[in-house]
Amino acid sequence: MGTGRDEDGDAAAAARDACAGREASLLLLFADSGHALAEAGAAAAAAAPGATVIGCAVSGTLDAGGAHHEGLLVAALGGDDLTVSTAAAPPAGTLRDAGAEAAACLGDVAERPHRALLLLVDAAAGDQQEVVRGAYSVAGAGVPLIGGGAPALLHGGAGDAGVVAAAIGSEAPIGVGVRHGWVPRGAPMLVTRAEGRRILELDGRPALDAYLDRLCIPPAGDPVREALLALGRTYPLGLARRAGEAQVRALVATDPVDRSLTFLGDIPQAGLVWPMSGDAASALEATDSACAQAVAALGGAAPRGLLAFDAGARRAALGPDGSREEAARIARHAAGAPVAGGGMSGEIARTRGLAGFHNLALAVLALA
Amino acid sequence: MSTQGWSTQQLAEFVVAISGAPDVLSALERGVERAAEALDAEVGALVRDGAVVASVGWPRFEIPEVDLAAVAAARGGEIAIPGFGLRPAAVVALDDERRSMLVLARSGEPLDTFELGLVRGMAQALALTLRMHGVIDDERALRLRSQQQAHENERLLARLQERQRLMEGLADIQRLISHRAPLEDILQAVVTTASSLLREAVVGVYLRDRDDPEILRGAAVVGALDGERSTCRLGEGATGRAAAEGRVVVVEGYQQSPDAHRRARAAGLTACMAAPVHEQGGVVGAIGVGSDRAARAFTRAEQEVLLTLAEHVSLALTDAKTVGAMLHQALHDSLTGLPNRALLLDRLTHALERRGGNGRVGVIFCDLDRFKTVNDSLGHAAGDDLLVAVAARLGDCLRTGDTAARLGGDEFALLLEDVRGEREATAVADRVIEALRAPFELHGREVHVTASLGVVCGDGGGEELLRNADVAMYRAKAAGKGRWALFEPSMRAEVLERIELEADLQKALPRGELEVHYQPLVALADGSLEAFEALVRWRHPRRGLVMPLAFIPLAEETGLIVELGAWVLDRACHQAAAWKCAVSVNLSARQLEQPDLVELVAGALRRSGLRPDLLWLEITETVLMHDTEATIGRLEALKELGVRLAVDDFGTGYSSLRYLRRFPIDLLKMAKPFVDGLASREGAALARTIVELGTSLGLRTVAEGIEGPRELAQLRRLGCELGQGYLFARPLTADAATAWLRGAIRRAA
Repeated sequence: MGTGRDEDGDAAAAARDACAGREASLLLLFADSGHALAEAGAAAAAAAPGATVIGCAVSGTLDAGGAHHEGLLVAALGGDDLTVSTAAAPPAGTLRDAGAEAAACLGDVAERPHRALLLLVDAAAGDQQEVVRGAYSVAGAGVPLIGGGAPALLHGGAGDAGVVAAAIGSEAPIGVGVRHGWVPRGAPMLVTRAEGRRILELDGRPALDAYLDRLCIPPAGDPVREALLALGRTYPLGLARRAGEAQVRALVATDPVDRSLTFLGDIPQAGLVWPMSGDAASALEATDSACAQAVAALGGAAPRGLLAFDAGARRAALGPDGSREEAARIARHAAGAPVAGGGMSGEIARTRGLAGFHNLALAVLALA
Repeated sequence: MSTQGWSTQQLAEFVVAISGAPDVLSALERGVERAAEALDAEVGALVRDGAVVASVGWPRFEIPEVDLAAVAAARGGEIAIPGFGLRPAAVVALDDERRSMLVLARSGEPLDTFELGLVRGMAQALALTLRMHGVIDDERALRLRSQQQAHENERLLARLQERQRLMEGLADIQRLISHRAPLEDILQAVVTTASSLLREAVVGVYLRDRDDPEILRGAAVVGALDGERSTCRLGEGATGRAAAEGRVVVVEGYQQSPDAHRRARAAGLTACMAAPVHEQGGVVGAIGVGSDRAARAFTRAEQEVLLTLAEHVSLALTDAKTVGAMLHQALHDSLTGLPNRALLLDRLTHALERRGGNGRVGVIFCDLDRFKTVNDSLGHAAGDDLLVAVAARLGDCLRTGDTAARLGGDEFALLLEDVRGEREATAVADRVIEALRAPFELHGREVHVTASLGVVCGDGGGEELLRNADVAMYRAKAAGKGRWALFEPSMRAEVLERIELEADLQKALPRGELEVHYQPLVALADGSLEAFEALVRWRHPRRGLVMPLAFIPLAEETGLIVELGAWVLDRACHQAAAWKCAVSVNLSARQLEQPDLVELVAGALRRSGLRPDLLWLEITETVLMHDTEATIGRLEALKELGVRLAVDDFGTGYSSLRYLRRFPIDLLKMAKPFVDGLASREGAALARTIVELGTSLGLRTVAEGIEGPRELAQLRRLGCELGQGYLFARPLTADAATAWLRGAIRRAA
């Protein structure tokens, strides 16, 4: 794996740097918002003939050199012991079907002993958990899933893609890790009415009011509320899981009229949810754990590269210093190998069990 | 959350998820998938009559159908999970006519007893859904055949319409269950639906009496045979027998039947049928239908309808119990068993509505002062034990009818109903502070904790009262902890200011707004310089120079002090190395808790090249009071580096010889109040005691805050060796201190 970055968004230059004269099978493009994905994809493809180009529009990129808020980052994957196949599914139809359709490209890398499926999902299309379920129905338990939510591109594919997938087959192990670092805060609330990603009632009250009261956020117009909001003090909700970290769902919208809350993923009716809290320290701790988990899955082999799918909101909360520290920590785990990543809206990582859709988390893919 | 609590929640989620499926296949697929998700199982399947009808976790063309059928038939065994190999399979029967089995396997440890119980609950819910869909499928088959038999069309159309009504009725009932409607409403909907579908006027759900289980009482009845609330005996009549025998009972020719119910026979019933209802697996009653139509016989389809309705009653009863448990769980803190914030607010609202004419409601917000230290030093288990013990003591401080609640973390609140005035509320606050004074015994150690309390009395909204009490608590904390403060409206502005200051402080270090100032420490005998004390100052872009008292406590609370302290230490060491002179740096309690403190100090010395004995680290007396093994270990490791340790503000805490002996200390810094008190005879005696104590323990003594020549003379007489204060110099910027140092050298020369 190699990486290349261009501050001014010159995709051809970044692609050439990433390939460094070698032949790549896959170019993965992380384009900071502001760069036209389709044009960048075309330029990268022209600069690296023979490679398939996929890309996503991210909020901020990161590589071994640090966290960046501008420019364009390219990761090049290749080599004799690596096979890549890509697919895209249009946004029409159900997301579950799109996930299954895109995952079918795994068949092309079936002869390799180690496989992973990289998924890029346009977060605007709906519940990404459904894409994960669809992909899982094809991939099964033996193939880890990785990726995240971002407008995605398959160069040469037909128009808009709801889901872009890249099946990676390798002779060497592939590891996936994920962590968020949030912890439950206080007692749970009962979801008394919910429709998909929208919670209408909590504890039998309009969801927005119950949520604000529970977090002791004063009503609108109160200066304390404005100060709290200015500090970014909103809290995601967590769903209890059997073991390990709670499943976090990020709050994406509130409706002051019907008093509902909309989250990035499904929240089941009749479930119990906790407001979750975290800080920079716990987020950075999660960074280390996610990387360590991914690298440990390589079974002692040194990583040849790390791909990091980091929550955009998490990077924003970490601030410039925190993001820098995060990039430095990821680079430390890469131990000299290249690193490429970007800020997503929803992260995908499945290694055990079925739950593979995460919010406000860091998902890491390690290639040996 | 306990495994049991987690299980009931997962079951509720599962029922809602599968009840929305549009057809059998998607209900099965969704059921298998959600069951696997809930149990962290990589693979799951539903095997029906030996065939796999739904599965998850295997690639589409690699489903091990033969192995799954074998595992299902044997009700156990091992199944291969892709990427993980063979793992034990959990197999649970669905209890339907097609011998369906739900199979799950995961890479982690095998399912435990609670989890198997959860899977059984899921299987029951899935069977119920299948039964409902099965009714529709049978009708579809009938309709196909009917197309070949034109003369039957009309009759079948009528039956189809009936089925449609059944589905609509069941959907209504399910909606009520999943929306958690009151149990009475759900049961009433069940009997009304039964009456309308079976076209019979007499229907009832009868449940066992809690006090006398031999009696069944009507929980929801239409067309009651008697005016009063109807009852029947267990084993008597169709309903009584269904409840006693746990099976469907049909009695036709009722008037001649030996076990007809007396009143039912008198009412002229010709036929009855009843089906048992269950709660968490056990029979708790039955649903019965009575007909007065001549020669009435119940068809197989009608029996199916009743059975389906009985299962809905069972689901509602089980769910109601779960909701009861969940509601308790949702309203109480699982650790201490106290009400939580939601319940407190509810009681607060009621108290405000109930209060008498002049009565007011009091709220005390209570936050433990050193909880994090206990958690960090003794472990979370000890922290939890402490919270439980505190909860018990809080309960003892309350008057009858008052409520203690845990709001989360180390925050508690007390609701005082109908207080006559603030004094009554502050009296409770006094009792709380007193009650916490005695040490807590945790894991064989005595631990002292205090709490900061905010008190408010009022008649406004519940939320507002609680918020105001919180605001007052902050004031109490800022005023020195272990005390209470009464809310005043002006405090809200302070809180706002605090939040702003906190945000600014987070940016202060990266923006270079912090400075280190230096105050000379001199030998009292000849005024020669001994060391500088490093003091941090904040040059705020709008507020100007901010004094440590205004931001250090905030930095302590938010944890910023660790980063800030490390920065000050680094700067001070570099400066002292340049001056080739000793420097004294304050260490906060938080810094002392950091496992890498020794490494940090060693690093600062290494980078600056400062000789270790020229670095003095100041620790406050109160920090030493709360000593832990880890603290002592760290202080000893610091001593091994060669640095000097000083006790700051000596005399303001509980002066105890014990810790002066226990810790490897070199200097005692006498707090300013003792210097100020020198003028009085008692004050002078106190100062003398401190100096003598230092001398007898072989420690150097430093007097802080010397402002006048008279104090200096007195301290010299007492034998105090070192001092600092405005008499010699104020804290100076690094440049000013350099100039001062040059002057001092000149003066000495």
